[in-house]
Amino acid sequence: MTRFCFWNRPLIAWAARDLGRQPFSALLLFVCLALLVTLVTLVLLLGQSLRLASVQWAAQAPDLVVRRVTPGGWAPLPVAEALERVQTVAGVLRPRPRVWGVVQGPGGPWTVVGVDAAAAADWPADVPLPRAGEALLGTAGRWLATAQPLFLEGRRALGFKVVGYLPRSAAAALHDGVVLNRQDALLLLGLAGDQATDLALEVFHDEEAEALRPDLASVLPWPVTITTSREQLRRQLDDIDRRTGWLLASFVPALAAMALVVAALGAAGRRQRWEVGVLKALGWGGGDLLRLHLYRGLLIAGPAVAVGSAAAYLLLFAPGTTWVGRWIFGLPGAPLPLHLSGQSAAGGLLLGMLLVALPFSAALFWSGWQAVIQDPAESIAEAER
Amino acid sequence: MNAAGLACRALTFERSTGGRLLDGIEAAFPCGRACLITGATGAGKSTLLHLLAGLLGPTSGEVWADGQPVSRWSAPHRERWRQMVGIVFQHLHLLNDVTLLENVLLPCVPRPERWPAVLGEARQLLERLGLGALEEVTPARLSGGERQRAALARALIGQPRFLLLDEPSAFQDDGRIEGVLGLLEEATGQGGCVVVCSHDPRLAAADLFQSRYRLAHGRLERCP
Repeated sequence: MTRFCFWNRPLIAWAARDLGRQPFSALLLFVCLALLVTLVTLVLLLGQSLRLASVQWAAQAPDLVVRRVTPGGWAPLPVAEALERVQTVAGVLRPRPRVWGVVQGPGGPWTVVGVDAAAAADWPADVPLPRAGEALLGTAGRWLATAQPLFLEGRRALGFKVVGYLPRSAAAALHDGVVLNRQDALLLLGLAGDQATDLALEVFHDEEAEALRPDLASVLPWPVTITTSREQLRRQLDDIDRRTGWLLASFVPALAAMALVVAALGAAGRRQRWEVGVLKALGWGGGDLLRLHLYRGLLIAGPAVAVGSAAAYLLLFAPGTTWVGRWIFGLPGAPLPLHLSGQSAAGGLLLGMLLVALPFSAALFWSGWQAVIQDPAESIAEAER
Repeated sequence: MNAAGLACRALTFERSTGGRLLDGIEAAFPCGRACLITGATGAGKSTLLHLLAGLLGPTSGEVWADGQPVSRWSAPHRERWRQMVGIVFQHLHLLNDVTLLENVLLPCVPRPERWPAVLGEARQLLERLGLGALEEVTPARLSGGERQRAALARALIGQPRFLLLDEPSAFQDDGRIEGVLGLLEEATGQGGCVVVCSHDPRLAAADLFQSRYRLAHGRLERCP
């Protein structure tokens, strides 16, 4: 008795030859599959890398951020009074005022951050602090020539000399950042010298941040919003998951359509039924026909999945890719520095493959099974009529 | 029922639209012999061949092959039985968009253990049937006679034990008939069971056929 082996070289060669007999439908199926894998994998990889960026960002962010609010929106914070009051709360560490805001610049909005000697502790040692009239640019600003002055427009329009760039290791939050001298930033944002945008605080343990919120709110004489880095991270991750989920759900009709097309291409057609009938009459068994069917599918799906996965990866991580920052975050300029761990990349690629391959395989198997159970005499007679 | 070859016992076949096409056929087609079945058009010759090939199931009665009642076998067993059958259809049923050589090799594709030998065998068969120069040509570009010989080569490939041929000479000129008969003689000489359905008088006059039957009104009668 012959031992059964799934892989049969002449049958694989015949499957390839068979695809060559209908090159248009084979090519169409390949393109559809590759496109679906690209889209699904792109969404999954983007979700994974944004999650990772959020986690890294949260690790660099202060434990607590206090912002003054009014019915009209956020309001500047009087620095001296705010510092004095929050320091009365036990457990609060390193309270520091921050000056930042969004202004118009070349190509769109830019996030301006004001720093002075007081911020030196958080500042990279090899990057000099900007002096008056000087600007340091985030990753997005690398396309701007340092020889030209940088014009920014907030409450006032000011020109700056670009003296350098922030290191690539800077947080993604500073991707579209412009770091200015504190006084310049205050002028640009229309803040007085004793005002700040918000107050950043640290705590001994992460768990304390949540518990300190009511204490902080009670010592400040204005309405404030107090955000913990954990809460911010949770919000961002939820948002990423929700958007990723919706995007993936929007692909379900496309996946179903693909499965139906595969099933229809494989099983319907009078010509296919006749051919299956002839092959059975010539001694092909149901198992042979099923294998032929699966080989044909694998010969299309294998390269399509590989091409689709590679395309998704390159679309996201190829050097010079700017569309993520531009389309999703509306950030101008250079590529958003996205990263993935090996595990996340493998997980995203694998899940992308599975989400497309499962309905494809089911449709393939179903149409193959139709060939297996087909009555040869009936399909031959049908063709003769 | 242990005789080598094919046998029909009380074989009856009714059309799905009603009407009995074959009525209690009794016949034996032993191995090592060639049998000719003649009959008018529509007498049921092709249906009888399809029943012998296991493509159709009889309404009643049984086809026996090498002493085994094959008609009621389950699909997987019947598939195995069909691997021992070479068949030429009346309408040939060649794949028109693949080459002649690929058409001839088609029955052997799922069986890799036979693969290396059959490639040479296929070329040899095509050569013997005068199609050697046409192996890379698709059937759509060939004459009826050439297509028919290609179908015969496809039936003969792998030296099947049972050879069932439906009008195998319909499009052949007199010069080619000899070659076809020569191949069938070889097949019987190697112990094959050859059953030919035809109303070609040239075949009726051939010495090859040791048994002759006439199919009329659903009954198969042995001719002297």
